[in-house]
Amino acid sequence: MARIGVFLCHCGSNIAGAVNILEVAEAAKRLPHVVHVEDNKFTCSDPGQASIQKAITEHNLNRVVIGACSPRMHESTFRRTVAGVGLNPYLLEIANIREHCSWVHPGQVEEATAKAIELVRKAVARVAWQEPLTPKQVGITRRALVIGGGIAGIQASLDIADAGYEVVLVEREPSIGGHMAQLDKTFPTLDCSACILTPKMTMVGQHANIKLMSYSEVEDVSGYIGNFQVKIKNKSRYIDVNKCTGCGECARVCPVELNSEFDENMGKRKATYIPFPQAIPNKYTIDKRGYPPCRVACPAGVNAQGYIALISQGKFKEALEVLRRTMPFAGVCGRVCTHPCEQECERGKVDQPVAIRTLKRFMADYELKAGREKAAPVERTKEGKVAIVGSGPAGLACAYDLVRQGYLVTVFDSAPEAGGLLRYGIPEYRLPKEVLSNEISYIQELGAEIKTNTPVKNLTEIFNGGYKAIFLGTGAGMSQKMGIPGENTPGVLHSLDFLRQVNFGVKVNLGSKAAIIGGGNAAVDAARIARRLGVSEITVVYRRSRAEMPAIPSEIEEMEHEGIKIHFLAAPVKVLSKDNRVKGIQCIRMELGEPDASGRRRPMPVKGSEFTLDVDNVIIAVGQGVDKAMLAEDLAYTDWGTLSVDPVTLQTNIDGVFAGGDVVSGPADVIAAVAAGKEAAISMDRYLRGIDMQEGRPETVKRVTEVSKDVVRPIARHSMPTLELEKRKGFDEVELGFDEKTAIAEAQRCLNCAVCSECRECEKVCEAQAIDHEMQDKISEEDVGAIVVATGATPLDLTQFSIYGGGVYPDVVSSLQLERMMNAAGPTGGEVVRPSNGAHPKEVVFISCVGSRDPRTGSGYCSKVCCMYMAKEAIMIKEHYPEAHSYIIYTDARGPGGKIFEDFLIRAEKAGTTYMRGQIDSVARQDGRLSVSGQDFLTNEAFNIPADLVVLATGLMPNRDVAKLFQTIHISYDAKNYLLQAHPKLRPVETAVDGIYIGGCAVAPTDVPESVAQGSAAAEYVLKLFSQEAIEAEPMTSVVDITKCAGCLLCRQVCPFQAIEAETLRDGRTVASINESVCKGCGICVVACRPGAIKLRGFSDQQVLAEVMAL
Amino acid sequence: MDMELIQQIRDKARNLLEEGTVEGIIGYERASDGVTARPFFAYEPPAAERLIFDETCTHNLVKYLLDKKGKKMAVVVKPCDSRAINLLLNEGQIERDKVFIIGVGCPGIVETSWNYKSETLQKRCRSCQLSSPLVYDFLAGGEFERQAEEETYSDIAEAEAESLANRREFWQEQFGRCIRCYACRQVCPGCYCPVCFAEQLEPLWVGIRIAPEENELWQTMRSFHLAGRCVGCNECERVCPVDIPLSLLNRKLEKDVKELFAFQAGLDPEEPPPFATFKKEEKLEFGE
Amino acid sequence: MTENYKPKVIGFLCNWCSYAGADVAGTSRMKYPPNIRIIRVPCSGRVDPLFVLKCFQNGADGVLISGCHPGDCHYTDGNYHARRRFALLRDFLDYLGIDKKRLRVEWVSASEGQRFAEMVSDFTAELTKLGPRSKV
Repeated sequence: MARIGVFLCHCGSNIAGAVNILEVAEAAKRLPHVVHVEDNKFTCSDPGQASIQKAITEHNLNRVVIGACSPRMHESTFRRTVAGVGLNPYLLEIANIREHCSWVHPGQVEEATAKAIELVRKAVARVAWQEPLTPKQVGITRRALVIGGGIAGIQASLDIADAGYEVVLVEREPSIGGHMAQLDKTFPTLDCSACILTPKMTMVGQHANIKLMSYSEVEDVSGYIGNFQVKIKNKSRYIDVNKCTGCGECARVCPVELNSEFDENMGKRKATYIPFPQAIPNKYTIDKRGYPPCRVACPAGVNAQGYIALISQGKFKEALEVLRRTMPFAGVCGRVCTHPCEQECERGKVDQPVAIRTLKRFMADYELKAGREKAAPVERTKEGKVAIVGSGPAGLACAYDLVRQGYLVTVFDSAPEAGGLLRYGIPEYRLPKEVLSNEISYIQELGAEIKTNTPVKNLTEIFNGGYKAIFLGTGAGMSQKMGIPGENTPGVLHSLDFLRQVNFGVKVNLGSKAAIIGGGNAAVDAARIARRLGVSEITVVYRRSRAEMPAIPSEIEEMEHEGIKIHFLAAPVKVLSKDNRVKGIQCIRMELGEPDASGRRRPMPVKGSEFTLDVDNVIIAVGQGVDKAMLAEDLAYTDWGTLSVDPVTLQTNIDGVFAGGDVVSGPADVIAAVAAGKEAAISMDRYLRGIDMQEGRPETVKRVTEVSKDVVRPIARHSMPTLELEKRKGFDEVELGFDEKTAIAEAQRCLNCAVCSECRECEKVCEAQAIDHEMQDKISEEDVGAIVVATGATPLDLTQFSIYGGGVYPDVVSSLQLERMMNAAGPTGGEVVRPSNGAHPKEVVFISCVGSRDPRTGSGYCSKVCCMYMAKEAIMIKEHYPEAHSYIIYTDARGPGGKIFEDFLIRAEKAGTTYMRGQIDSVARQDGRLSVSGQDFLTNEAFNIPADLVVLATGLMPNRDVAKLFQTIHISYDAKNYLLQAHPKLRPVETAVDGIYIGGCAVAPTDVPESVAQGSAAAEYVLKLFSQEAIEAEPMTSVVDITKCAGCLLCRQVCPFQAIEAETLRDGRTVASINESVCKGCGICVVACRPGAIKLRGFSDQQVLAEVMAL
Repeated sequence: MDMELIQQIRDKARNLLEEGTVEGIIGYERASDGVTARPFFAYEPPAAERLIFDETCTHNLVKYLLDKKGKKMAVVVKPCDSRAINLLLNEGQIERDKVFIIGVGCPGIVETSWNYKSETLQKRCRSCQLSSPLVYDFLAGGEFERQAEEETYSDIAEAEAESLANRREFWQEQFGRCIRCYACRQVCPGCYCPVCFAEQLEPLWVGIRIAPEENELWQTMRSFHLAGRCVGCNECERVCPVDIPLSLLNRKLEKDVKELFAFQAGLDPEEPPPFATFKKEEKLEFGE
Repeated sequence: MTENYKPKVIGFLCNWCSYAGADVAGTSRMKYPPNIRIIRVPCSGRVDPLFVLKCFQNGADGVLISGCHPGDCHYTDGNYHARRRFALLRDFLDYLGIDKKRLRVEWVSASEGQRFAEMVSDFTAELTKLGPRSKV
């Protein structure tokens, strides 16, 4: 039988001033089960609490209702009160008659009193249904996690570690130190920031109790106070920190330079870097952001950024080495590749893509001119013998990879010389034989044997010869016939046969007029060769329009430049002959209809539009096919007549036989063949070693997505010099390539999308052998009992404030940029200079409240530190440059926090700084200086100050992406992403979540002394927790009544914490079962349960319904 | 009556019983008025001869599977009933390998009453989009094609078009007649809770007295518990002794669930029901 | 509409966000009409549609359910479930003749005291205009 006591609080006049407490008391007396009612001036005070205890004992109360402030305020207080006299602390209910009543309904005593009565009645109804609850005692993991390595996090870590407990300190950047490390001097003492910070940083680095995880981020947090499980991503530095000595050789040779974030874009750093000299840990980090778009676009995965970065430094030999890691065809592909990389090149979004293909060619030409050293043969380390049929690009690329892995490789080709279509298809003026032969020799020097004039008729012979795996790169060497009448007339040639003959050196007799049928590269090559063989009138007949023509655009351009015409939208109907020789060709006009299977619009003949071209020769270049009769074996072919292979492993239907290139894909480009050869090499190596060929393929690559283009000046792409038209009689190369100077200039246009280009020069110079480019991100799992969040804040980006010239004029800088200049270890060596001309400024204007106190631009809050640091910076400038003068245009000049702060502002003024209270209208350029115009509020006059340097005191905002982290941890934050405290006055370093503490700028803008204080305060809460024997787990969890459970398990599906499992009872029934330790008490499952089998203790249906019905 | 179809059912049923594949058949037989149909349980092979199937077979026999747990049973199932099977599979109330489903294609069921069989198709059949059961082990009568009207929920749209006051009055009147016999709940395959929320004492959601507001609570909450679960067999409306238009409640929720969550009950036993899941990005008109 | 009609409003507020927001409204002394009675729940996902029906049955003129902003739920998913449940319920109740304006779902964070006060004032004013529920 419930015996309820009701205790009403006046809270001084906070409640009593708006609510008639005595009336509420009278009403309470009449409520069911209420046996005692009293009121108190201050219930939470000692006498107030004692009174409750006395009443419980005297009147034998077994339930307590307190009408007072919010339960979020004092529920725990009063729970302890009742527990003090032996009453279960959960048999207590609080009616919120202050925050929800007296404080929000002032001057409406009647209504507020009626409401208070109802709230008390509701609480009484609820508490009658409350059961006693006993919290479980749970152990505490006495380790702490600190997130954020700025001064607040550092202080918290040191305090906890010094007390003897282990701390895991997670910092996102490669070094701890935060923004304090960027400062030159600190106010008000003008201590050198590094001098006071670095000893603490060193202590953190060396402390036996601190596990420092730099360059890491928290990925997931689960659990509850005393028992958190945390997952931390340790980002890969590509450098083993245990081996790195910090010698700096890697940075010296690194070709990639970018703006240094630590120096606020005033200085540069390399892709491998230590952010600042006193960094902890003092180890290098390689900033690699994924694969650059060029590398991802290349079917063969060539690392273009790698070699381009080295070319830009004049390291041509090393650049060629980078390419040769992937494939050997610098000269070949540098001339004929279709360059998909250039399509994806991010530079193309600024002006034009980098001339990647031509730069590749440059490396090859440079080496060839200087004389290539013979390559050293690769040591045979593998057992197997590998045969490659066909020495085109696919076969050669496959051979190249396998011979380098230590296999014995033999390449067979029926032709007299190796190269396939590279030699017998592509004409000399595009790809000189000398270049091709040089690169084939390279492969042979490595140890691959090439047997020319050796056709392969069947594969069994090859296997019998001891070869264990075979690659077929036999190409699509059969010219496709058109199937028109007269195709076999002498004078009609098919393109591949024509090209072959010319490249063989056979003399081909052509007349003076020729028609070339087709629009691909073979057609264009045939046309341009015909020109060089003396044919004067050449017409290319293509059945679609220019937009659909598949040949390389630069080739089409050069062809037209050479005077060859193109007849679009026409197709041949029949070959006209006389005396068994070609006389002409009858064509018909076409128009484009609906798209066909390839997606291109289908050409349809226009009835009655026939016309005739008088020609002596017709060269047909409409396609290439695979010669199925080439091999004896029963290989599987696709519907298109090409070899059928597994799309991942490239194995044919015969075990151990692989294929790639045109023979599989149909006519395609060289780089696709190279890619296929390389892919097959992977398969063949795995096949020979007997391991799974499918695993991990195709490889997933992380393509860089965001490439900043802010600081890029447009520079046009350097154009390819070409041979003058008059000189193009013979087969001399038409494209001439870049010279050294042009190559370096063009390479410098590269944006270095991935930052680290994987050129691997660093590996060569690292004596400690600490570099590992294959390193992967790791996930660490840590168990901790408490978490401190000190993720800090960052000043707003000054480019947002173009009205003050931020991001517009180089002489408008942010305060942090000025700090970096003032710092002796900074980008200007401690000299404060005008970025525009490097001169010392005479007049400096500081603009305060840039993005602070203005909800439109920033947080709307005061950033607290700016008034002090502007004074500091003005004092420092005066100290360095006595002739310089500073203005500080302020809104309010505050020196908060004690008299030395106020004194500091006065000191700045005494040093000659002019303080002007006013507002800035604009900053403009005038006579080579800046002109700052505004209104002086004290004199009411407009002003116009000529300045050399303008410094913006940009406001502080929480660090980027913190909202996501806070959501992961389940702590509350406001609309500007600042953390919310448990109570803004009395609990400033706690959050609403037990066990998670906060401090520093992540909560609100603070200066260094306050951050230190808050860091220590947070540590104190952690230590307080750890000093307890055990903690009580929240007993308000859910439980299933199996007599009502239907086993539908909808609850299991909705539980966010996976706290619910299916359980089979002895009678075979399935019911739901809730794990008390994991249950967080949200109650989603209670609602999902239709029969109402789940009870959330403390918020049961009975209790809530009782509240509803009492109203 | 399609004797060929019926013979197939009888033969299959006899066969299943003879071979001991199932312990019993749940099917239809002729009711004692000689005109309409009633549920029938055959446990011995000769009893299979009593099975029939025609346009009077309105009952959703799937309901009977719920208390047969552990025994393997065969059940005769129309397309709408097969959705109930999928629902119960999804909710773990029946095991697939404990049920042998004799499916029949359905041309539609007519309105019937004692000793009377009309020519009019039941409301629910007119816009039913299924002609064959969605799940079965044996399909009596083979593949079946049927033309159906498009489902436009015109009945619901008509009800929605009434003014708020009219709607209130209408439903007060409908709910006023409810005698809390719970026939609707008893016949519904989706209602299988060991203890119904309406029969709890702690907390007492609804009392048993017949008062409009209690009735309203019962009707509204039962419909809501079936939201995203009702398969539209409409047996509830048929068995209501006081003619409450329950289809207007259930179909309204069916329509809304379809529009809001793109989900319909009983079509796929694997698909998670709408209240088991959510989409973070969905905007459901709440001051987002 | 009867004179002296004062809407009876019942609000279910989640402990972590909206109840705290309502507390902030109190500490900041924001004013709003005294019609609302707040019931604390751990999460908006705890609010059963049955509670809402019982509120209306018991004479409430309007019911408010308030939780954390989607994405910020202290229990991760509670408000997403609440969102689905009450989207369906509100439409259903309206169909049954209970004006959908009487059931409000709002997301209020722990710092949005002002917003809470404004929202309650707005809701109360709207309910005053709509009149008492049983008379509709």
